[in-house]
Amino acid sequence: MSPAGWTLDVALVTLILGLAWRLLWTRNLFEAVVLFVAFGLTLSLAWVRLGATDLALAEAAVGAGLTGALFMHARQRLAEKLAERAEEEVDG
Amino acid sequence: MRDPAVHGRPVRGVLGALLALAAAGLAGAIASAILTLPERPATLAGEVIATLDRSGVESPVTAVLLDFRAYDTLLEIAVLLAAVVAVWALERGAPPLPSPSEAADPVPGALARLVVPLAVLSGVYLTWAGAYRAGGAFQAGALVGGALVLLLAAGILPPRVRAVGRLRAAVVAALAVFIAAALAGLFATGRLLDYPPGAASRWIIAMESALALSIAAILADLFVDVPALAEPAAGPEDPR
Repeated sequence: MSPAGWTLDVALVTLILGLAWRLLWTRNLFEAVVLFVAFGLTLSLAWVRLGATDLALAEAAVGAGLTGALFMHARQRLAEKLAERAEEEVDG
Repeated sequence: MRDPAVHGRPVRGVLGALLALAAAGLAGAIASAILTLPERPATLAGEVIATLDRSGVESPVTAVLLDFRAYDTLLEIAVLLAAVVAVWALERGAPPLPSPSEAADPVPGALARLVVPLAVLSGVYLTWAGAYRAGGAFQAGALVGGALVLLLAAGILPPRVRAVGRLRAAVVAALAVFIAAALAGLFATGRLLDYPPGAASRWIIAMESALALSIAAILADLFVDVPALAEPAAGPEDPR
């Protein structure tokens, strides 16, 4: 393998592991969702490097796009639920 | 800034130790499985390539998904349909989220107007490209599904439109087309999901298009908050 390809692969692996680590440890759910999307996009680049273009396309569309949107949606719902509960506690 | 929706309490103590142990064990098992993989894994890739010219498409991935193993894809879309029906059942009676208004936040709307036409165009291209290179119905469906979600998030799709009717017709389209193709193939060739010789590529493109449409609708439907099954009294638009 060419030195350039090798460097790219090492950078990708480091980036994937680093993003995974940060998204598991962050306490901010919004940040976690953004990191998850970045993780998905980086992972799809890794699929391209492995020659699996079909998987890369699916990963970018499902892993990064849709799942990210679904998580964002769930986070919003959760925030609304928590706000509702806090209001109830104040009233009661 | 602390997120309003913070994580729950962290797991500590004996339970935490047990969970850590279980996770470490799983990681070890996966690592050992990968390390003991045979040097030359059993593969059917050679046979797929050898019979590719009989499939009607040039992409080996699409040939497997829509021709050699079309039965698996038929069951897959049936599973997706079952999942979305379960979501409809769960949503029934849930209070709808207030629809986001464009006046409050114009950014999602502006983004959607830029991105959605491009995403739909790319989706059509990906469906078509699936016949001869990387691409295909699942990727295209996910892309168009994402575009629909953007429209919902921006408040461009009004709740009435997203509730019923056409969306649900799109959800079942792929399974209907697949079953029709399977039965037509049965009558034409005597075998389930076998295509008449010479017409295979046209059949596959038609099925891919239906698949892309249904997958987009199913994925978008997961984001629809209003009960997907409108109450019978809600209006003349009776659920079909």
